[in-house]
Amino acid sequence: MEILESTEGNIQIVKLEGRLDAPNTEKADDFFSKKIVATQENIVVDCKNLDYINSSGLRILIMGLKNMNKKNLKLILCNLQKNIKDVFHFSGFTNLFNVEYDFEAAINEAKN
Amino acid sequence: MKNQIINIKSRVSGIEIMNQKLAKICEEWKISKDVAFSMNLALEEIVTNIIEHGYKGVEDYDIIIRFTLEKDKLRIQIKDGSPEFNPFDVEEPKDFNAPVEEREIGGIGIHLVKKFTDNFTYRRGNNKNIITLQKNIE
Repeated sequence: MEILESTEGNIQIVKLEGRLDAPNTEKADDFFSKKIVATQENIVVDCKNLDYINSSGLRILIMGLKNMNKKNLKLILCNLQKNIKDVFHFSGFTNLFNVEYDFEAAINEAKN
Repeated sequence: MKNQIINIKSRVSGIEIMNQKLAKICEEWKISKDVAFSMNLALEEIVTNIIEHGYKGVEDYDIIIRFTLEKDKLRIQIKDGSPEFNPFDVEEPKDFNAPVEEREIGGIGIHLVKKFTDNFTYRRGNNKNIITLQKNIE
């Protein structure tokens, strides 16, 4: 799995590419823990090229969401592939997260 | 009917080998991307559970995985020698609508296994836990 970082104005962009599976759990956990401690801005996670996620991956994102909430910041997801959307839906996580249809909508949400 | 078996160790590198094997098999057997996704998810959740809870994180135990292609279904059997435990008996998470701060994160994995497969069974035989996952092929 690749994790690519960029910014759009002040907004922090994180692109996840490939598979957030068991072998990549530690890498992703490490990344998000540090990123969320450090950030003073909202984060948009672009999942366009994220092909796979399991419950450990979900756990990382939900911990991230909890910690962003504590800082009064937003963690916004966008561009979820169908299967990934199903994983969120069946876990009951969809309505907890701020999930936007596309990148532009996510950026607009992050600006508000 | 087609069959393939692998034996992995109870550690993350074992899961990596297992995932690669499943991807290769799905390609060889021309399994759709959606079925491959569902079965990879179900298999990873079961095996992660075995490693973390059954084998308590000890890395040198064996897990035997058998992949079977029948006319209209893909079946995966997972056999391990950890203490008797039926993961499907565990109570489902109740608080699916609770606010994020109150959500219990555990238990989601097995819930996903149930949602992403068409059939799942557990039995104890020969001092082994034997789990079967099944997915219909469109």
